[in-house]
Amino acid sequence: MLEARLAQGSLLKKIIEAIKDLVQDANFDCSDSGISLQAMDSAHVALCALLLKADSFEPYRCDRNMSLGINLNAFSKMLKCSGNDDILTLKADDDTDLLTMMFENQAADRLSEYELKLMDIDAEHLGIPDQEFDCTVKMPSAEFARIVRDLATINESVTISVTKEGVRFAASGDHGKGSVLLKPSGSVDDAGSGSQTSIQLSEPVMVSLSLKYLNTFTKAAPLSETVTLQITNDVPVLIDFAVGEAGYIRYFLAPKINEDE
Amino acid sequence: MVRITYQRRKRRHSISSPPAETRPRAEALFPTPAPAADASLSSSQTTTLPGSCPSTPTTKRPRALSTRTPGRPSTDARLRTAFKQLYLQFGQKDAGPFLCRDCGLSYQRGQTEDEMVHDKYHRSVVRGVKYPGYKSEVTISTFLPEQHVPEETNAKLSSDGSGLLRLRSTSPKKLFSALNPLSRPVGGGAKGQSSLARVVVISDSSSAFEKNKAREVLEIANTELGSAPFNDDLWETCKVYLSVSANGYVMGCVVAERIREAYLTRSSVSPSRRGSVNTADEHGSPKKRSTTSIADLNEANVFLSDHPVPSSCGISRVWVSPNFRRQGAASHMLEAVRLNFIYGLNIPPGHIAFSQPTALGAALARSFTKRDHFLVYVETCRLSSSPGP
Repeated sequence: MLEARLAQGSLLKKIIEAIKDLVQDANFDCSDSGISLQAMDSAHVALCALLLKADSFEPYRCDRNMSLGINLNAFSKMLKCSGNDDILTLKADDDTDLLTMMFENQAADRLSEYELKLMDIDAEHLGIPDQEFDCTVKMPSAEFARIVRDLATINESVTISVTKEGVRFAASGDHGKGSVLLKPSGSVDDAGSGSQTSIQLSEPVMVSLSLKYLNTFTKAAPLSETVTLQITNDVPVLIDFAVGEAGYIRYFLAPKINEDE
Repeated sequence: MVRITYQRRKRRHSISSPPAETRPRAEALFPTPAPAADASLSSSQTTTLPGSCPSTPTTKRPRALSTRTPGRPSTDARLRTAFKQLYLQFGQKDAGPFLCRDCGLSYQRGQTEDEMVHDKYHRSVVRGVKYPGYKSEVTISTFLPEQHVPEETNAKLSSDGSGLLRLRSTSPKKLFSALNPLSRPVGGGAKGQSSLARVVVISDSSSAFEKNKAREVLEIANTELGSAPFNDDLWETCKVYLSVSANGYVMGCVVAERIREAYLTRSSVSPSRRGSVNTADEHGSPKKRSTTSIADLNEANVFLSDHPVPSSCGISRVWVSPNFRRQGAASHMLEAVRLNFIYGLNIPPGHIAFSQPTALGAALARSFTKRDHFLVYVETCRLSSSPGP
């Protein structure tokens, strides 16, 4: 059976918010090392990989590996029944197809319990190769969310070009164009702050991405102060939000190509 | 390396863009790593990417949608650049076009225009075409649909969202009402008038609205039957009969046309009796025809006699929406044809001819005429290459 207690229940709420727009149903794979999820959107353009390490829960117990097929929309609705400061406990027995959620408030005088029916989802687990990327950009996730939101008003795709000078997000549409240049500041003065943009670059890269997908990824911005973009020309882009100590939500997004090339 | 800044513009594809199967699918994959020192890592990576080509990353594919010719000036190209979304290829099984279980349309998920076409088609197939009712409509008869549950749709409702998930309903009745959200339970005389389906006729004198609605239904019917679409001169020779359910959805259609002659079917098991089946034949064509065989769906051919007999009414198409099958709609429409097609004349069931019956169509024809052998005619009027008799 699975039993996982999360002191900060709102964390799971945010995580599900960050995934549910991309996929409708997904398998949560629970093992003794933690909970993971891998799901591709129906158009096969983006892939979302989630990992919650066992030590983000206190306590965490999973006797044998189990796969919980969950409708994310229903899950999200049930999680919204919890308060932001509630302590969340997830429970699933081996023989039942129910996931039990228990929300306990800080004063420990209100205990609510919800049960979610699990589904049998025939999903395959895909092996994603470890890839050395040419370029790694670390930036504040709120800044990333804002740029993506702003440029989405111009057109539906953005071109991200990274040089030593900085990272430039540019979009142009029928009515005009816009671009945002972020200069790497953290590396010069205060390398330790972590809230500024930093760039590691072995080769300049330029990639075009769908803003619609990026906008759904930015739902994960509340989870993490910083976001890491890893880019190599002509391969899927990896967008990584750290969750807690060692967990993550990673999105792979297939780029767009210029039809004339 | 500094490249030009792209300017991109959303290009609108029309609905008549090429179907999903023919559209090339560009995929983005991680290139397999160069043969580096750690052989174990690279071998594990190649196994996790079974669909990938080991030598080259296939990010760029032929661009069928591109309409521009090579060799244009680059300034022009910069202004008109269109971007094309690539797809992830991590070796997933369900890559490629997606086949909808309910409507049978294969389309590319994620392509907006494909999804729009599918949505429209899916709605018309699954829920049927709405028939709002018209002031000028001519109702020939009403009938109480027999309450059967369509077996084709039994327990095949699948969630359209993922394609991976199959919801199975144990109660077929529940499923039936799920497919037809507006359907009310039929039967039980208390409902009275509201549960009666009706047969309406649409002919040359009908209003343009009715004709358009008939065309909409015929489009679906022709797609499902795999037959040729009709021309504009449809209304000169044909009448279309629609059966409309109590809640205002088209259950099916029959296209009837004027013909001159038809051929009686004969048993394929006794070819020695060829020509002896049909003896009364004064109006037959002087030229001796060889036996025509029309293949039906069961591969059991329908053999026709050599000599035509006069017949005045031919059924060109019979189609009933899958949700409304086994409710007697087709029989009632044929009955309406019999009574209405020629003014003031009741055509005997045995004198109605059918064109190219499918297996189901032949079964209908047999049950309608209550004979083993029925009349079949060769549809010539709207076919471009008509073999003259």
